[in-house]
Amino acid sequence: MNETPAADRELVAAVQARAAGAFERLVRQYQGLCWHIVQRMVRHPEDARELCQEVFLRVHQCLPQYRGDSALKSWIGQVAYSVAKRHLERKRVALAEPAWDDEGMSLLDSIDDGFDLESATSDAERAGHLNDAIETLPPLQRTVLTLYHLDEMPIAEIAGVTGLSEGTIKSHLFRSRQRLRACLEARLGVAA
Amino acid sequence: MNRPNDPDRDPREWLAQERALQLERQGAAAAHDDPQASRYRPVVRALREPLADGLPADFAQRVALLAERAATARTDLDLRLERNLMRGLVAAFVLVALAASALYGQATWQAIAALVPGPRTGSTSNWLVPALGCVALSWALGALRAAGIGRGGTTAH
Repeated sequence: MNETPAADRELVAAVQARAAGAFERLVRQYQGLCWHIVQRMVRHPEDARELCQEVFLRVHQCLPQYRGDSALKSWIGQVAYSVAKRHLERKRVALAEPAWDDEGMSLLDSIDDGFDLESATSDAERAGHLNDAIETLPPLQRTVLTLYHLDEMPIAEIAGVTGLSEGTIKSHLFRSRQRLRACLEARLGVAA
Repeated sequence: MNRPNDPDRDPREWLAQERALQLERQGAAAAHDDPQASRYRPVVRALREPLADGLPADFAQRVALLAERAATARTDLDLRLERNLMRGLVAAFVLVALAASALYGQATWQAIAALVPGPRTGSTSNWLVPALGCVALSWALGALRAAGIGRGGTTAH
């Protein structure tokens, strides 16, 4: 997948010139990223599909406003994030719940630091528990974790997508990972 | 300002998390030399698991088609709006011209006729014909130009 600034500009120019298949190529290139953001935010496959469609229709309409200051990937990520965020706001779903940090940290306090999770449990068991724990995270934290680990987006770029500061993103990553580790170890009965 | 669980307040923990990510990216075997990072590796591995793709196989094709239709509809709407605005403007201009003629026409004609020199001062017949000729010629040239553009200039967007 070619995502250099020159390739971005070329693709955008082709879409704006209404070149055959250009927009389809753009959608194919970024539909995975869009799905990750929207699905992680809304957690409802049907809504997520409709919102992904809305994202790309908006991208097509607003493409003349894309100046190339940021990577096309970030710009599309921003559109996807804002569409999903607005959907959650309409449904009155909180993006980030401040209370969850304390809960996660109290779990961490009860975990023995010397426990080796890798050798004590099976992969499937761990993955099952972790996926459950990821689902309990607030939408913003789930999305930030996915963009960082799965899409391998740098922190600065995630900050651009979400409109938050790099420090806040780093903080979300740090605390979410701590919380997931604590949840997993607590589920497996690893007490201090 | 650092909050209680900020990475800046606990840089070792942050480094352990990042080290775990690095090891998972490299696909390294379980590293027993870094027990703190090892505790995060299952977490990082789960986070790197691809999400089930919920978009249909023809998603890109379908969205591209919808976007093209929407763009065409927007262009049509813009053109219609532009045409209607132009019609409205012309209608307003004609109405204003008619109202002005009705109110001030007689006096204006007389004033203009008085200003134009001629063998029979006060009569408009000797200059009205050339003036109308000029207007007709301008209109004809304009119409010809418009017809030329209509034939050859509408293909560009």
